[in-house]
Amino acid sequence: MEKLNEMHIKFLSKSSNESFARVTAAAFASQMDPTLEEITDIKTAVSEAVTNAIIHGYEDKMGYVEIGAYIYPGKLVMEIIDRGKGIADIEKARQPLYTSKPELERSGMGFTVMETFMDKVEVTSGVNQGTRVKMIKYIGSSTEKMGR
Amino acid sequence: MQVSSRKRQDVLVVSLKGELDHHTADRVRRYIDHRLENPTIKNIVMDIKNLTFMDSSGIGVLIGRYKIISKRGGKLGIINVNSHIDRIFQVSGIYRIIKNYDDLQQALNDMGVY
Repeated sequence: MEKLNEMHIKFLSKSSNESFARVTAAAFASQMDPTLEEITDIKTAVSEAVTNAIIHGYEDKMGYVEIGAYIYPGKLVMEIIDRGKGIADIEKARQPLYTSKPELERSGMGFTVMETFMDKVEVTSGVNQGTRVKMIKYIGSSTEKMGR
Repeated sequence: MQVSSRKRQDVLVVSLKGELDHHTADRVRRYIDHRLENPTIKNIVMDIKNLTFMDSSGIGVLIGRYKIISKRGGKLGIINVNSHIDRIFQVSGIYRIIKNYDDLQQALNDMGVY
């Protein structure tokens, strides 16, 4: 499938960048003419993935979070990448209500929310190698969506 | 993120304005917990009419406040939930412990305030 556009951003793992990240990702996606609901879906999923990178990937240390976004006809691909401590058991981390940090009042719903608002979520991670969350969302008319 | 509150008998009505994420959650948490130092508060109603964004960090804030208030035998209610936030509430299963009321009056009545 022909790639129509691409963008990359890289920012420090500060929590104040969470809103910057989701707004930037949504602004890039807006050229696909998504509905308001689709824009909110993208913002929410990106916010979850970036928050995970900041809280779990880097914990109290500073590092860089990278976002890559790719636009194909009717399809948006978002990658959120950190070079932090990684996830030892991805299957466990993706379970609803699982959190490694209950003391921080984390709900453990981050991956569940990503899966709810995006069409596909893939996680690759290695201990001390970081984590890459790849999310796909199909955007466009309902007929295109039915045909996918 | 702006947080404000008012007290109606033993109910703390908290209004949130802006975006609730991991970054802003701490401020909301500290604000509410400071108000909850008043032991006469038994119930909380969260008015999220002007909450323009929320991710799962908001669920963590609500569960934490629910734990405090349930120890006092009280309830946590929520009003003015938009469809997007409603989906996050649905998938998180939070409606098992927090009630979504039609409006403030209904919430207050259910908490014994008339």
